[in-house]
Amino acid sequence: MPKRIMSVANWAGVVIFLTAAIVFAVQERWGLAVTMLLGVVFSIGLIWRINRGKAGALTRIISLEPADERDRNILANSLVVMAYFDIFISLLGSLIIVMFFPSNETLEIIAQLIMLLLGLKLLAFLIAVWIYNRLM
Amino acid sequence: MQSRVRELRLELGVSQDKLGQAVGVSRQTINSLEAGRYDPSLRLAVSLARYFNTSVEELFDVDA
Repeated sequence: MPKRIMSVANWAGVVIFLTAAIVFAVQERWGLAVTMLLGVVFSIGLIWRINRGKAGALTRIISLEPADERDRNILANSLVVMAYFDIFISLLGSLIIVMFFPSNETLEIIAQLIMLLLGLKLLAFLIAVWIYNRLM
Repeated sequence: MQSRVRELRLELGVSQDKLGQAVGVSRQTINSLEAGRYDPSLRLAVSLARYFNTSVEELFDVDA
């Protein structure tokens, strides 16, 4: 199998966790800063294990470090299932809040936030379809 | 999809791990291919056919 160091997704994750750790440290929120650092250490440790060939397919896939085409297919199919579930649960959650808690302002804000995030995800979906439609 | 991968691999006395390394996939992928649970990409099918010095049609039975 080709030698890899770390996937783009995990690079992004490590950068986000490290940035968050620094921000929390500056704010003197030590518990959160240490938690973020532990997340980074855990991720890098897991990826180091994967790169040494000591991890199974399940570990590689859930760590977003697919090693070959079967891993990539499983990862893509699983993400599709997660996306369907996300759309379903976001719509259902928002509708339940709007229908059954019409006078609760906090829940209404949460529902609006969920719908906004869903809108952004659908926008990402449309962009992805447009790009793949041109590439394939 | 049925294949002759297991049969040809055993004839050559090669492990799943070695075959996987030779064609650039994991041992689990070879195992799934042999069990008929995974349909390979065209690239992998050609790589395997070349490794066993045969054709894709001889290696994989698409009608099964």
